[in-house]
Amino acid sequence: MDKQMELLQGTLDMLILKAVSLGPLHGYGVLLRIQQISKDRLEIQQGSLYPAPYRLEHQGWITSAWGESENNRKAKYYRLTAAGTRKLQTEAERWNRMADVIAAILQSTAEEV
Amino acid sequence: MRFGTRIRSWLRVVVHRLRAEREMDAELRFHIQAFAEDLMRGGLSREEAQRRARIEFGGIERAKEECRDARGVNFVEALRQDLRFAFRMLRKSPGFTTVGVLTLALGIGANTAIFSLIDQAVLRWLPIKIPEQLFELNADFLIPEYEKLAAHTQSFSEMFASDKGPMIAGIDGLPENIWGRFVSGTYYSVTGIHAIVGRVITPQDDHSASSLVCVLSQNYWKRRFGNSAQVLGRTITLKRIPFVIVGVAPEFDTGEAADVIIPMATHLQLAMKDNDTVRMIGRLKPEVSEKQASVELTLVYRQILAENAGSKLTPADQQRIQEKTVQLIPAGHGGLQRFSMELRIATAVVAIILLIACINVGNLLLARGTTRQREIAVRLAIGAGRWRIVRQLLTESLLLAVLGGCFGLLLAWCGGQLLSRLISEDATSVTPDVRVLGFTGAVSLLTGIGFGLLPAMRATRTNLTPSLKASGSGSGGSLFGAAGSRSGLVKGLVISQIGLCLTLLIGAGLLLQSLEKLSKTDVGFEREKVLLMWVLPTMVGYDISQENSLDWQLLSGLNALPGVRSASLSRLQLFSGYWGRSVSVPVRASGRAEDVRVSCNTIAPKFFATMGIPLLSGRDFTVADSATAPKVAIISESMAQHYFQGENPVGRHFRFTGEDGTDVEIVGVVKDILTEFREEQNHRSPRAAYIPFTQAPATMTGQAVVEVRATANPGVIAAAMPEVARRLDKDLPVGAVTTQNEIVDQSLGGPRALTQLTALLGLLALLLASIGIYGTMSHAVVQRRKEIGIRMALGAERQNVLRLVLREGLLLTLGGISGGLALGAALTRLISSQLYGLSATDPLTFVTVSLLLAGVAFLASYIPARSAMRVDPMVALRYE
Repeated sequence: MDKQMELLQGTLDMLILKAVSLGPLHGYGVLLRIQQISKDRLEIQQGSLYPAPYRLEHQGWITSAWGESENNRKAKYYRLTAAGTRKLQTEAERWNRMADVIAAILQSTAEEV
Repeated sequence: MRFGTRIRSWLRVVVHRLRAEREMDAELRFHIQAFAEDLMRGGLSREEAQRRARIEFGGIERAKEECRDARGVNFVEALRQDLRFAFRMLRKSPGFTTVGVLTLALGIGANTAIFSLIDQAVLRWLPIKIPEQLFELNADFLIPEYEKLAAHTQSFSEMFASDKGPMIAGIDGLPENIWGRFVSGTYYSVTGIHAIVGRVITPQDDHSASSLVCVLSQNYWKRRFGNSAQVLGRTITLKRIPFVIVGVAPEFDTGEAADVIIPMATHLQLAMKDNDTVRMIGRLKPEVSEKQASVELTLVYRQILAENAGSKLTPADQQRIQEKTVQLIPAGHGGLQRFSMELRIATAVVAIILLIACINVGNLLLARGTTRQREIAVRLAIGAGRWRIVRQLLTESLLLAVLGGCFGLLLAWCGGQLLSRLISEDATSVTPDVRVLGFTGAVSLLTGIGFGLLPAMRATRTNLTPSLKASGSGSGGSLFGAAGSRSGLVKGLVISQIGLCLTLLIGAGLLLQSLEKLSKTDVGFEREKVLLMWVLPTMVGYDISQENSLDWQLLSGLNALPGVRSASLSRLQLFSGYWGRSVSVPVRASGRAEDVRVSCNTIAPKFFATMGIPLLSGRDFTVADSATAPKVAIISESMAQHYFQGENPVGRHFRFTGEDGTDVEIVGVVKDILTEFREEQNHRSPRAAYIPFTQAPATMTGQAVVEVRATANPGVIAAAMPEVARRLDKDLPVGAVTTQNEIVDQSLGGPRALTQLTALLGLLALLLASIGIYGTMSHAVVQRRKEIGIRMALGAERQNVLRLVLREGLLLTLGGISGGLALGAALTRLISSQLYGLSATDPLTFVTVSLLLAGVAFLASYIPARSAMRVDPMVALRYE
């Protein structure tokens, strides 16, 4: 299980929302936090992360502001908005339901069908 | 809210493009930097860490592009690029750009000018209270009739009466010509117009007992009193009666706008004596339909008329009353209530011009598409999407159209004067306001898409390989061998352009001939060498007997002038297009009483001699036909023929209805004359009756036009005429001296403006069409240079090549002409009401115009054909 998995289509947005829900983060920080929480089991291409925060900000789920980084550099920090909090909640529920359904299907045996 | 955020984020990025770009750059750099630092912490050297970070991050530019996309900014960015590129492309081919922009400017400009006229005159609501509820009744009402109608109608919640006329105002003792408007006391409350200064006229002012007040129009206040607030309380003298100025208010109705507004109660004292009727406008109740209101008002009106006639009601009167109907005309728009025929024709003409312009530019673009095939093929080959290129090409067309629109606006602004003559003599220029600008913008954009989309789609539907391989064109049976369907489209466009052009030219030809015939029409009198001058004694308070003696003195004074053969006067000016109110005549001569309307004019002795109208039998009026003498009349030939078939009418009698009803004896018969060109156009017979001015009913007194036939020195006589009047009464208002010829000529103003417009635009269409043919043919010749070269190298005669090209041009022209003839035959029927003396499908016009067009088309294809003939086989073959 040590091998890195590629991200499922469409889940990156949800993961970013989750990451910034734990506290404001800059883009690199988002990447690090996702890797940290997933215990490095998820692989995210560095450069391909970026359109996502821009898209989320454009849609109003997160907002950004410039601030100081840990090593005193200017960095752009993303924060969850109220709408984003709600969005994350519905997305998480949807995902859990979906995962349950898929798991149930995969666990089904010949007798059940 | 989310939508709002999106717009805001989008706007922020679009507006602060540079800052957004800088921030994006900073953010990505920070990421790489932080990543590199982490890697260094892992033990890598600085350089190695930087390198690894950059590699793992991937393409920075690609990431940026994706970010821009995520924010929806790329669209704007692409538009910016497209525009810049389009500008470059247009600058690169100045010839194409100039022709395109000018062509479009013409089409768009003509449409803008017509639109702004229609908008001003017809479309725009007046800025008054709920204008869409206001309706005018389609009749002229006597003031008592208005009062009864307003009191009895259930359909209208409120009504007002209005009447406008020329007046002489005394301000500080000096006379001044103004337009006065009588309004009922309800006028301002119905329209909701408020005073700018002071107050407006109220119902209390409109009782004859109250003091005499007036309101100035805002324009007149500005023009005459320089917006001075001191004007309140001053007096204006009208017919020697002082009116106190109580306020200033705007006037909106363009056709009816006056300078001074006075209460209707003074109408009887102040209006021209022939004028005892008013316009009536009311606010329809929301729950009543126009039709219901019309039915109700008709009933009430008939009832009122019957009551007024009382016991004297004859069956003929009853018949007349039963024929009266009241209809509602929307009154919330500008002065011109109906969309006049002239404006409609002009609209159709400019629409056709725009269509031709579009086709022309579309054709140019198609031709360019062929020459740009390689460029487009290369761009497609290196991965540009088709939609992206279509967008680029469309941007170019739109830019062209917008440029055309800008010039068009300029053109409309300059050419608006000619157009405005279509609706009235006082020129209303095209003022580019928001609505006009909006219209022009919309037309430009639609035009741009209209002519640009098809060529753009065509240009990008390229089969890449052949266009990249060979820049020459294939061969085929016809001159347009290149790409079969594209050349078909080009041909179709040229044919339809020729067809539309022919239609316009046919219309112009018909109108031109009609105008020519009109101006040469025998009007029935001699229009040369007759000088005219209005005298308006009623404006300075003359009563009828004073006026009569003034008229006699004036005539003897004028007759005594050296160089005057004869002088006379009449109540109505001949050929002013306005014959006053004709009166109804029950003719008893043939044993039956018949109600007819004949034109009626009051005249002085020697009128017919002065105007050159032959007296057929009987006698002219003399001084002896005074107010107290037996009533006499002279009738026109057609009236005599109609009512006294074959008999001599002299000595017979008829009666004017509505007057005191005494019999009138016919003492003479004169030749018919035309009252206006339209009369002849409508085949109306010029039945007319003339009565001596001394025996005129009160409604036909108060003013007259004097006519003087000069034998020599018309200039000197013209200068002396006002002097004669002034010697009799220095305050007597007189008009400027004109000639009868000018009056006849003026009445052709409307048809002439329309004809000029159509002819001008027809010629421009011809120019555009010949450019179209020329362009298409020369393009085809250039495209097939090589093939022509080969043919000639193989021994084809120059004549054969010439014939080949000419045949193509001829086929196109013939196709266009046959289409145009069919379209013309269908469309000219719509203008038949404007044609005089020829049918709408006059074969001569159709043939002549077709020949003209064919000739021009031949020339336009002859030039490219000649150049094809001169192709040097060697040069052509080496060319590629």
